[in-house]
Amino acid sequence: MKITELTLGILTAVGGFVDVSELVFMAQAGSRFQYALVWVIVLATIGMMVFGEMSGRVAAIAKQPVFNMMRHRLGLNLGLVTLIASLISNTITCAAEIGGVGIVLHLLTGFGFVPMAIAATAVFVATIWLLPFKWIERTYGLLGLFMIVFAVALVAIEPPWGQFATGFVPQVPAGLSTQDLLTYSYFAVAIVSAVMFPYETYFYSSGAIEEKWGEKDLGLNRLTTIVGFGLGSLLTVAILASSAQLFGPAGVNPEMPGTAALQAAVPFGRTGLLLALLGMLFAIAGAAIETCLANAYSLSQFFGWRWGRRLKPHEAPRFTLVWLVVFILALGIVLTGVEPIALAEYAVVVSILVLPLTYLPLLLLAGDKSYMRQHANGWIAKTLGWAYYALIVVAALAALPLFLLTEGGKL
Amino acid sequence: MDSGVPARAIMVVALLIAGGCGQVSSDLATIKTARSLAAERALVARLNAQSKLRPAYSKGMQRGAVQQLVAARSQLSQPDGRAGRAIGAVAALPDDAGPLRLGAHRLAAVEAQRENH
Amino acid sequence: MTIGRVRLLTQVRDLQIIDRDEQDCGIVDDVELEGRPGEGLRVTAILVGPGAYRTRLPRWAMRLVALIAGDHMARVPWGEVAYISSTVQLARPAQDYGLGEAEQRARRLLPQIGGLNAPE
Repeated sequence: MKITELTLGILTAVGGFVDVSELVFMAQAGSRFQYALVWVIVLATIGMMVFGEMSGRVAAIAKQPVFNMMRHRLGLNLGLVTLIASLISNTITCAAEIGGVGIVLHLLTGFGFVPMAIAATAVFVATIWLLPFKWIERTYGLLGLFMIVFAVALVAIEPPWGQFATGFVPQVPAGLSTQDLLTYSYFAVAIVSAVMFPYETYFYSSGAIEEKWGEKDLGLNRLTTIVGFGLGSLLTVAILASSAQLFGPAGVNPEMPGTAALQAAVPFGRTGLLLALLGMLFAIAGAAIETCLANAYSLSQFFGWRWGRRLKPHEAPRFTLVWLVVFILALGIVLTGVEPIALAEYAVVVSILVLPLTYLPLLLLAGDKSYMRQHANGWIAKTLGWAYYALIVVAALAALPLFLLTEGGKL
Repeated sequence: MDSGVPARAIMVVALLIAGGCGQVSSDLATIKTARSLAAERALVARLNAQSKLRPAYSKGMQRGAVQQLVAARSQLSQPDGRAGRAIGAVAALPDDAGPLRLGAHRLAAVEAQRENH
Repeated sequence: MTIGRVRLLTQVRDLQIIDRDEQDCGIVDDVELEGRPGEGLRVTAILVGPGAYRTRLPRWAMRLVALIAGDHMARVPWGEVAYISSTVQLARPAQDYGLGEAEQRARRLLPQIGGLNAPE
């Protein structure tokens, strides 16, 4: 395994970990419940590592991306339901990301939100059309490393480290009213959904096939998912913790995506603000591209079309048309005037409903020795996989009632 | 294998999601949102006065918050009631941390009164 | 030629199809069988294309699929199946079976930006 490849892979995973939903939910969670939800981020990240590693391993050994497995394992009917649900979920998420990028560009430049959203979409189309897969992923992932300013800012504001540390212990804060308990539960489910977004698995597994991963890449896969996702999640923990320290006492429950950048402005002034905005810009932009491509991958794999950025656009025309149409649809949603934060909230709720259907075929295939040979799930992967699957099912069942009872976490 | 998918059940869930997502916020949720927006305006104004923010950012955040406050007021069941007038007052304030902080406190009081009802 | 015994419906149906040149060219959307009650069944072809869903989906779902992916169908004789593993590999290029025509139609819809593609 080349050290350069490994380092770039990990850094790309770190810089690409955060998207607009995580920015919004982590900041609100910290403001509302201080450090009491840190443990949920850790729990969800481990789940992401487990399923991310599985999807990379299946892509490398069985040479199967997620949606091929989906249809084969679940059958046409259930596969079609999953496909439609994930197309809707990813399109809403893509719209939230494009809206987030539009807002950040507006805050950086002063130019109007609408022209910035349209310009950003045009840049995304050009990026996918022109760049090979590896450089699509790396460009935004590496530039997303500006997000590290959030971790540095947390250290600079000197939070109460003892209290912060207690957040890593699974807990339900004492003395919560019934309504607060429901809202706490909603944020826990939302954090699980935001960290384990299904589009990340579709993109990661399809990317592994784009890069022609084989048995020799299993180590890279394991390190990328464990180290990369682990370090990336520290950024989301930092956003939550800074919010607890800065926003909670000020009565701020961030209602605008740009508010998170204040976490870097407080200790570092204009330089910190600029770095934070740049980090948010590239992290969210990367997510916009990933969600769009995830839809193109899903649809193409489900119907057996030629797919992938390793092919020129005209060599995979239906795949190309799909991602073009997804960007147009997502931009259209943004231009209707729906707030990006509202889109991010809808995306999180719809996505958690899709998760059980997404991960079941992956779990089954990763444990199937006839496809995976000696690389089938061992007892650790099996135990963790099924435990997390149970957690995801419970979260999926609770998501909609909690969303309705707490009015999207606002009560 | 083609599993026997309960298609109708899936449709019901889809309709519930659509209905939930289209749900109009209750007045309490709207007031909480407005209180937070007021606090965000105050925080941005304070940091801007300390020269910690870029002009485009400060202006963009203040304008965005005002737009959302105006929208929040229109969502109330009584836009011209006590809560509506308090929200309107905060939306009309200049980008000055002191008055904005007071405005946020007033909204917090309205919020507390609603919660205790 | 297949390796060992396969279960036609659970293992073969819904598998990715690749042609002789290992290009993706569809999914096994259904399997065609020939025979009479009381006699042995014989596999005669694999059916590829959304038109093969008619017997597998409710009518409303079929309309949605036709909207997105059309309702064409190609019939590939079972004798043209060269190999079955995690994919079904055919003996000849996709065009020989009428597969890939939809890709041709889609290609005409793409903007013609001459030569403007990144080297791989």
